[in-house]
Amino acid sequence: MKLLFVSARSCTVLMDENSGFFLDLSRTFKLNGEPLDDERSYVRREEERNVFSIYGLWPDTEYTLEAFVKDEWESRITFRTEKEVVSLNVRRFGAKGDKQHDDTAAIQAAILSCPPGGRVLIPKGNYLTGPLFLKSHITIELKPDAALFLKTEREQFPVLPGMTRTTDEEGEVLLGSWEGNPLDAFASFITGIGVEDVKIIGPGVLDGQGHVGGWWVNPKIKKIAYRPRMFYLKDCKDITLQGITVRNSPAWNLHPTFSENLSFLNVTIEAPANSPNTDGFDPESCKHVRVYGTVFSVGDDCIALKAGKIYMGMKYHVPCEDIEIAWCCMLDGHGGVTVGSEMAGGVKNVRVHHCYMRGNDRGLRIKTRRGRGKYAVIDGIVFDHVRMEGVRCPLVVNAMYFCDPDGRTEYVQSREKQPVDDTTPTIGSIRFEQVEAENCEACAGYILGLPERPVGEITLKDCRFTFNPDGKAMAPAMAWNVEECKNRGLIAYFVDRLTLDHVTMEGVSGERVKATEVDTIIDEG
Amino acid sequence: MNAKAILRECREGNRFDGNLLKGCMAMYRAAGDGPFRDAVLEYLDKGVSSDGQLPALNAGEGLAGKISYGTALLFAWDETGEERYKAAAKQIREKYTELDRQILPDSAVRGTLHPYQPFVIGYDCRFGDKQSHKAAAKCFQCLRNHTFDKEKKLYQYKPALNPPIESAYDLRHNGGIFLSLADTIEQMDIQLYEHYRVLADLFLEAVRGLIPYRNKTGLFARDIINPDSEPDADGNRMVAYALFKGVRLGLLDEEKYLPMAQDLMITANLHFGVCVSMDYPGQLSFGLMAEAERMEVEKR
Repeated sequence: MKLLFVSARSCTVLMDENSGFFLDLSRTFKLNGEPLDDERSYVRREEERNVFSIYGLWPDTEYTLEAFVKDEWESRITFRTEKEVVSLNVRRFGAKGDKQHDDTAAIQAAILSCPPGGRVLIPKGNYLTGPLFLKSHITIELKPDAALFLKTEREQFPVLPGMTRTTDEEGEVLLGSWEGNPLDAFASFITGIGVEDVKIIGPGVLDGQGHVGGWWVNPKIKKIAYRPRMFYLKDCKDITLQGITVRNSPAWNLHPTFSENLSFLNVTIEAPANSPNTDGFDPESCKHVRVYGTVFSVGDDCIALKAGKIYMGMKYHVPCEDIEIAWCCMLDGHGGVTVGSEMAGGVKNVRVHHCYMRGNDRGLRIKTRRGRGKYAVIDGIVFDHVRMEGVRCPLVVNAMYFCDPDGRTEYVQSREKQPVDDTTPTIGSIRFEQVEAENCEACAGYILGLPERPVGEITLKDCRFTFNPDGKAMAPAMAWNVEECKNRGLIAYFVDRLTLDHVTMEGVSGERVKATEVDTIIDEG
Repeated sequence: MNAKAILRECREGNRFDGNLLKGCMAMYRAAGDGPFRDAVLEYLDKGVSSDGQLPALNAGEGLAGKISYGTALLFAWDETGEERYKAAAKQIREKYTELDRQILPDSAVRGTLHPYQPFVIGYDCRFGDKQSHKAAAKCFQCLRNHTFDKEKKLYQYKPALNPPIESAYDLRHNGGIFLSLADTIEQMDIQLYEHYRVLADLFLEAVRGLIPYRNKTGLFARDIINPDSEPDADGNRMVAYALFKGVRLGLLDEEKYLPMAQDLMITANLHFGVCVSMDYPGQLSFGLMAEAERMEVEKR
């Protein structure tokens, strides 16, 4: 048992670092000698999750948590909660929590009034609010049965300007962001600009009301500004989200940018499968990010690691790096973990481990295109100990993704070798190790590099793929001339080195590896 | 101002017509004034057949006028959705592509392509694949590389390209570039931000370069670097138009540049008078355009 996080009022615990999202063995717990009840451990009411959180703790108090397997003592941790200066209840600031009154000002007042080390308490109730802005060195707690509902009238939303020139007109300040460019966007439900040391703890709910607010109608058309997200950070550090449920986002759910030391623990992210662009978690040009024990069920990619489009990449070249995603559960969605397609600053050192994916179109999905730029380097992507069920295509690498207004042009889509220049992206090493994928439908993997810059190295080690004979055919990659396929093995174009080491494919149709323009293939069974 | 009467006097397809059409379209957008819209559509009816043919395309004084004409066709398509306008615009777009191919290798003259960019981008955003954004950015960069004087911070009118004129630093030439940049930016898909930003930066650079040359009356001289020489009616209104538009599009800081634009407009009107006659088509069209932009930005 390992303590992952502690605040003044809550903690998050990892039970077994070698297990996946679910525990193999059921356990019971005692906190300071008393059985851990459902009220305290809200998350544990539903299933045996490996990462779980405990709420309702007292500040500056020592706790001992003990685990038992079939009444047999197994392990113990002892920890002390943080101190807390004051607790400010939003009700005392005038919030009604009846989903009728506009509680924006009351909650914002509580946040801005909260001294460092204080807590803003949002008790049981349904609060209707507009976007809220964070302040440094505070904790915001949404109690059980507390839900914030985002207002639906976009005319009442503040706009974050994409780019504002500095007063001397020599520089720029970027605030709003949309799909990798500095564009005017509505302030997000929870917005943090230049803040640090903030904790938002659950187990309450943030509901974006995307289905009510018209955000999902003609979603690609800018109306006043681009759509808000549920949680947006710019230039922040030391931020933790713990245990909250985020649902019905107007667009992407969690979107931290140019921020560092971020933790997302036991968060639940929900959006209907057909909701447009409701990516779960999209860190953009962030470093030192950890996502543990989080559940995704969304309408687009569950996680998408990003680093801007070419303007941002060439000007700032800040990669998304040192990312750890573990003990998470990704349900549905186009991709389980995606890199790109906005990745012009590079995406490096990513480890996804002990996760569970079910029903996604793709497991690991890497997407880029010509025009992302010389800093657009994807390297050091590792998937290990990942279990997939019914993921239609576990591995897709696509360097000709037909995104953006000009994505369906010859320049992006040509299979002919183009000159390597400052716009050419690079894909380095990608490793799948101990990945078990059952009931694949399209193919085990589809790799499409660039002829002028092939994918560096793809390694599959100790992996097992089985196929669903009743599955549907699918085009694994979104690019020109990618045909639908069903129950195929590994299909690769334009790769320097492809290694299969102890890889089994059961029920594969045709040859297990079909390689075109692959420099070196090592297939050791 | 009787827009129909003005446009009735126009010859088909010259550049004055194009600017007047632009002025009428801008007035319609700014004021929602039906007669300006009707005037544009009525004018186009004279030249566009029911199947979208443009008999005058190869006649007249060259492509410049046709391109402005093309912008009006896009306006007509937006307003009516009639296929013949799209078909006619396509013919002009293809003509442009032909021209582009002919003179692309000669980078020194690529600057002459810049007046066409608003139409090209506008066309491709509606009907094409938007590849033209990259070409537009390249075109303006090329123009800058070859004709921007980094010391004087002005675009030079290269005598090698045209019969020599009195000054290489011509206000109308610089004003024309302002117009092209602002009008092109307005047509762009901002999600192709890298190209949009190239133009936005060039626009700001050009504006910042010109501003110090205002003379004590508050106007710019035709020969920019001799501020006390004769001011120019067309050129000053072109600049006013670009400043207003730059503010409206968020390219220029409103607090800094809007008063400048307003002052320039008022001063120009006082100095030259408000033109309502086709005897001075430049003054008329640029006056209309500037007035429309003033109305748009001030009504926000």
